[in-house]
Amino acid sequence: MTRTRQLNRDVFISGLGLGILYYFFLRTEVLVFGGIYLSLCFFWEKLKVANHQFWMKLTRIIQSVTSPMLFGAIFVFALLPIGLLFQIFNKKESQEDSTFKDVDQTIDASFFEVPW
Amino acid sequence: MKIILGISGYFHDSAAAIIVEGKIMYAAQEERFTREKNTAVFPANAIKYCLKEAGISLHEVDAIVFSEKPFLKFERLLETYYNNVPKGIFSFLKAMPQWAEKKLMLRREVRSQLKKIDPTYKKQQKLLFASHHLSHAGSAFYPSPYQESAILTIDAVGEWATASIGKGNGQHIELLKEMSFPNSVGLLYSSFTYFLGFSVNEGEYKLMGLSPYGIEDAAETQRFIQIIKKELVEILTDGSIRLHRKYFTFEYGLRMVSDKKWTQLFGMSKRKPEEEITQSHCNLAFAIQHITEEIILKMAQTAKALTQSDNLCLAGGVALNCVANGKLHESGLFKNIWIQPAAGDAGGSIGAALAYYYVHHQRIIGEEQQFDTMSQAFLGPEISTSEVEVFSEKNSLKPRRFSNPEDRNQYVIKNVIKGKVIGWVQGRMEFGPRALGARSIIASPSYPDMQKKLNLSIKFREDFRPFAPVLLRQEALKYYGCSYASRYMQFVSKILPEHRLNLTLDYANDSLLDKLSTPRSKFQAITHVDFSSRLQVVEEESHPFYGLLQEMRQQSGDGILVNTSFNTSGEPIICNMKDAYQCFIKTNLDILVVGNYTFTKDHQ
Repeated sequence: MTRTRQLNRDVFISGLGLGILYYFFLRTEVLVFGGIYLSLCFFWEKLKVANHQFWMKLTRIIQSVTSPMLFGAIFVFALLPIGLLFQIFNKKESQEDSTFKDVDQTIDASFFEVPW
Repeated sequence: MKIILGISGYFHDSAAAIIVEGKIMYAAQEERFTREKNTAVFPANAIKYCLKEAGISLHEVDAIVFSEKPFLKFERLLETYYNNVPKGIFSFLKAMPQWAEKKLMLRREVRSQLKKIDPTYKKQQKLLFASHHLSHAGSAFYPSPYQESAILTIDAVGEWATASIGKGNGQHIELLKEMSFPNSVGLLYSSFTYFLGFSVNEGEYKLMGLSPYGIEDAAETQRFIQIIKKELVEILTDGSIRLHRKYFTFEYGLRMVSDKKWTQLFGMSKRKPEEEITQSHCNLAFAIQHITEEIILKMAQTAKALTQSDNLCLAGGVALNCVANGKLHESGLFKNIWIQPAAGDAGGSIGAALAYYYVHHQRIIGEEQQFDTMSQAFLGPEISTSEVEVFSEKNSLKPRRFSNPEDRNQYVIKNVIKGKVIGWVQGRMEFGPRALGARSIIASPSYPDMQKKLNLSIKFREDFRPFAPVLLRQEALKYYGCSYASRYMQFVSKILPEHRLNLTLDYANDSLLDKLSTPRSKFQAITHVDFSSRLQVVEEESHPFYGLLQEMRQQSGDGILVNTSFNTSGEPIICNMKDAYQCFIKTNLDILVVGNYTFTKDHQ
């Protein structure tokens, strides 16, 4: 996506946000402010950039909160129980004379096709 | 014409390489362009450089090969977390967002990055994946001068493998044995790097340089060796190892080891980065270096037994341990040893591309191929004459231009002999961690305080760090008895006893600083405290150092110079004219030489 498109997209998101605010509060001030703000955005490049930066920062803040919550939940509710079962049923570390294992792998064209 | 683009990235040391009909044409590390050392970002600049120099667009590339298999790596991560829950939540929270965003969908991510580089790139083009250790093995064997060879790759960890033994024959590589995570020689060494206060993945050189300051016969050193063998690692007869995992936290933590347990074990706490280095730190460095050498030697013996080859090819980060390589050479186990100069993950880009190419094509090594197909590792960008002129004009600089290299060399050596330190930029940039004559800092090895001067006022790094010599074949033979090819600074050799100076009786027990200031040979700056040097032997007349060393011999009697990388501590080696000039200005370098142009600070 080009930078101009990104900036315009974020102005549109701001408009949408202000529209939602108006829908909930039905305050004329929101409508007036929104109208002036959006009009200025289209004529004043610097405001458009500031608007874009605002959304980027907000995204980062939201991500810094939601990401640990999401992955924390995955860890606790998925990884932890599976891991505990894994530890119960998985055999103990072997004490063989070597930790080298034979490699049973043919390196041909098909070997490179897959990311596993 | 078959053109293959090899890529390594997203994990460590990103790089790209272009192979044309099996020949390595262009290769560069991304860090040189982004100026972020060991960067893991997608190597967009390195790819752009390779494509531009090759004069092709991405759609003309026959295949793009990535040096790892991301799903296998992810499987290893998950299984490691399974094995360690409930520990590991912080590491999981740190690692997973990156995996979810980019690494897990690597095919899509790489394609979108390639599209950004070149809009002509088509999704239908082949995007392939080699495994990490196959990439290392490919980078070690295919450019080597051998038709058949044993292959040994040792590093921290790839997907699952941490070390592998293989055999190369003609165009075929067969991996025979693999050691798996968490048993890893690289991670064991990095654990000590961490405990001794250096940065992991970067400070391993420092640890290696520190080890000769340790006192081998000291009771403390022997105790450390015993503790490591008894408590931390079991070394099995074939060189494979078993780490005692209770002492290590790298599987699930944000640190390498349990600081508390290691403090109890060794009777000393983890060194802080700025803390003074004591004799105990040196002894511990000696102990782990000694053990690493023992492991590598045993692994090499197993490789020999499995392959019965006279040749050995080495790669992987641990293969950059030139002290261990020197011992391996001394052992006489293999007649010939060849080590990939970019043995770390950057070299994986070359190995992955070559491994794929040779699945379909015959590999022919001509009788005339005396060395290897690495083009002396000069695979990166070159600074052209016009670039120097444009830069000089733009910055109102007045460099001196020599009409021929002979006059330039004469001028440079005259100044080197006077004790001046020179920034030396010639031809194409090196691929790999070592400066080999294209982006180097050179000086006379004979000045007793040169090591200190270079470390403290030019490189801005720790005063104990040693410097390497670059020398002609005759000098290598005369001073080191070195008759083998050591083109890439990969082997450490000791100066012959007749060229050593007499030491005080108590030298072995001297402190680090006392040892450092004790005269050891007439080439004090490049003779480490144990009389060792990391040799770079120049044999070919086309080498950028050849004429310079001849001139040095003519003017001083010995064709030996100090050669260190053209950068300051923590920065990647310089790449272009701007980097070179900036480094020249901010350090105490006396002269900058770029091609036939010389810059001095008096005339700027």
